[in-house]
Amino acid sequence: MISSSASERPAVQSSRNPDAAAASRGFRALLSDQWLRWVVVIGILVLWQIGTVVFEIPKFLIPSPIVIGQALWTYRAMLLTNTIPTVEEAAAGFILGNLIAVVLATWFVHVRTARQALYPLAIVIQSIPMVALAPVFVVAMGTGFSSKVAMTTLISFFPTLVNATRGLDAVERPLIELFQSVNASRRDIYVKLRFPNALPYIFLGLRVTATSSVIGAIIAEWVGAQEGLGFMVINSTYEFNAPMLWATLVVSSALVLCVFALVAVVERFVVPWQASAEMATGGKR
Amino acid sequence: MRQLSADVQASKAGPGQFDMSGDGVRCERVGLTYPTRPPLRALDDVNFHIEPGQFVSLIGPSGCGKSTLLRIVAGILPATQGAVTIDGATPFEAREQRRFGFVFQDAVLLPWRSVRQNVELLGEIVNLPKAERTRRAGELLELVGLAGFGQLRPSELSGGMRQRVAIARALALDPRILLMDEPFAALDEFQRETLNVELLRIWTERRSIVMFVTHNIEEAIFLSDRVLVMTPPPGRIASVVDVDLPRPRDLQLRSEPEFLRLRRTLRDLLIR
Repeated sequence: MISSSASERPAVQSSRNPDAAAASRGFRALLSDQWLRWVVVIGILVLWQIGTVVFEIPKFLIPSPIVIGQALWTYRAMLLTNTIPTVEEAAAGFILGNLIAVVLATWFVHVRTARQALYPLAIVIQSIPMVALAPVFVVAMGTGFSSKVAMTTLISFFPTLVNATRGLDAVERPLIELFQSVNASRRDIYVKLRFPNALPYIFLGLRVTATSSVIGAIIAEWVGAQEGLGFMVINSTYEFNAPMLWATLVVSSALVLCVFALVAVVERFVVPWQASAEMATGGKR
Repeated sequence: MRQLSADVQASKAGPGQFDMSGDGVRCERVGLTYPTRPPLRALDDVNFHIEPGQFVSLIGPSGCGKSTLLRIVAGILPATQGAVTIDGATPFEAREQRRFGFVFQDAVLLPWRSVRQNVELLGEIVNLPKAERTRRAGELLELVGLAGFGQLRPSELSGGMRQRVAIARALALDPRILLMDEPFAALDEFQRETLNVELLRIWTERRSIVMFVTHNIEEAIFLSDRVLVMTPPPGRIASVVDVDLPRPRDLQLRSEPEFLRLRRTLRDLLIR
């Protein structure tokens, strides 16, 4: 059998080649971007180092990059033991908050009244400044693990709720009709259509909340804790130990970057069709 | 549930043998009024009967309710007046018995599934055994001329090929009635012509009722046994034009005097 007409065949090839071209262009752009970024970062560090030496800025005010590097090494054990609780608090809240968000979004999509009743409430909660909420949780739940997890859960909850709800909703109508035309159950429509369709949207929420849950944990520790990176920030401030403070900041931002990268890597595996679509359009986010 | 999937398997007739029993699709005084204020009449007093194995086109200006009528037949949208029967059953019952295949203007394939997995989708929903699903998907991909393309993702195909996949997917449960809602409207003229010919070939191999919505006169004549001409809202069937052109048909047909005569007739009916 002639498998495909002449008028259609070239379309496959031509649709593949631009993809490859776009991908390599994207890769090259990424490389030069990376290169530029490193130049900027290293440039700032060098200027900073020169500035602290030339203007004789005392290291208890603004330590130089080299001093910070030394502090990172000196306090490595302390930094590590305080990173672990922060990671645990962030991870627990991240998982819990996102889980609740996806479950609630599922409920919203199936029960209109649930959405009408609870969605505005969620927006009200979101409008409260998170920094102001941290003391509330610490006062109510103490300076231990639970107040931190409450904070990170709340932070992780909202962006994913919004995105998951949107993703579960954003199914093309003919697809719903296709499922209905063979009498598919709502469960089938959810499992085989709505949920996979929502995955790219959910990951948008995960990317945001992965970083903000770390920041939320640090803020909550700030208010009251016996351990964690936020606790170290406060402690080094009280001790006027600027190099230690800066070293903690470095570790904190490194942690945020790692978490972000981790989510991005997982996304590539879980939502490969989206990743390739993004490549083809040169990244639309 | 068990009975339903048994039904799906029972309706599986081998190529060449067509089940021509039953009453076909019957629409009697069908109307649809939306309860807006003032009430919006989308369809009014629609009557027709399609015999088993017939290819019928619905043609008319946009907004005349062609697609709406298709959804009423499929039991997705309830009619507010009159009744539709599918082999004597209500559209809802027919839907429960999985008698419909649906093809839309856009292929709407699931981007996270390969071409083959897209064709297997409906089989999964009705719990066909894995082996049976695989067998059917293989057959159907060959039928629509995409035998070697099963592993690709939909995004790697051209528009015409995607629509072929959509047709294969619609045929996966051996529907008695294939509902096609302007399936080739988004394609260019060449792809449309190619797929018109292909659709006729597929239809002769897998004979079923086809209800084909289009606003292209030549396409309607070329494909159909009968053309139902619909008027602007409230949509009703203004006239029925029988197409007595011999089958099998090829693209040469379109310069035949009879074809041109039918085209003029339909154009007059639509422009009036």
